[in-house]
Amino acid sequence: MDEMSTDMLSDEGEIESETGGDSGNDAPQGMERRLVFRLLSHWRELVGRDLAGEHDYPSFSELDPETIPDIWEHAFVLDISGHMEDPLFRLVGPKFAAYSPIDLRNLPVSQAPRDSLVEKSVDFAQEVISREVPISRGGEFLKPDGVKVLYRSIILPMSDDGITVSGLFGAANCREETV
Amino acid sequence: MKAFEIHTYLGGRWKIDSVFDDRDLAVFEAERMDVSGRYPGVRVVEETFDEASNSTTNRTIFRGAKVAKANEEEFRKSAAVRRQVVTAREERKVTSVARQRQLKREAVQKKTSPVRLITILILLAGFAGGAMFGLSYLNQMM
Repeated sequence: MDEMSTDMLSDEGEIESETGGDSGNDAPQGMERRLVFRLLSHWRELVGRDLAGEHDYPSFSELDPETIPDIWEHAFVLDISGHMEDPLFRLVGPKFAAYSPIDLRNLPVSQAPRDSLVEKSVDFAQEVISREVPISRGGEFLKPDGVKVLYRSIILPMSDDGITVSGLFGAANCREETV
Repeated sequence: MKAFEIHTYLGGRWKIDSVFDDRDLAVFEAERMDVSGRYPGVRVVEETFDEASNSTTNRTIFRGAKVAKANEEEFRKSAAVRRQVVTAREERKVTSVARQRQLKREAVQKKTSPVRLITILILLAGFAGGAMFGLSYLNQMM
């Protein structure tokens, strides 16, 4: 629990400030530090690699955890093939996984722990599937222990063939607000 | 309920790039994209869904510099065309009035032309002479 709280605090700046302030982030000055923007930019770069302009979405094979190590820790992958109504968690970054008391891998999103960052982060997965565009949501919620949590998340559509959405890639972070 | 869509102009059409639930974040990201110079056009559209009427209204809350410049250029062009049209219409109006006056003047002049009067007099004189000649011939016959 202490470890989780430390993780949350280390992401405080990313949520709060436009220029960042993530104490654990060594991003160069002037570089966007907020998680959702960095991931969105990376996603756009992957789409932009298709010079022919035929692909609307990147594929999972193009994702390299080593190029986005800090994002990867907060990331998750949802499988929608055959699970369109209730996608399954396939990959979960260690920091994101720390927000769940149960193992998320292969778990349907409907079974995400209530009132947790995990639940809030995948809450709008269906909207991403239907609109087929990246969506970012944020807000606040109360954990079961009454602690207020501010969070921001993003879910991006991914595709094996570049045209049909076949999975979702997301990330989220949060900070607890002491009352 | 509100959503803020970032649109990019690609291949001759606007396409939804991403959707945010926060106005400041959407505008911040759109500005960043606009400055990057990668996109011919960037804008943010605020989408408001009214649950009572089950209707959605859209309004553009941010336009990238290129879009704003293009719109300004377009506005300047259309204003110039409008001015040209108005000027041409006024010129046509002035010309038309002048032409009508000219025609009226010509018509009046035509009516009072001395050549015309002399011709009429000659014809009348000829007609009268003919009639007198005819009458005297008839008188001789009887």
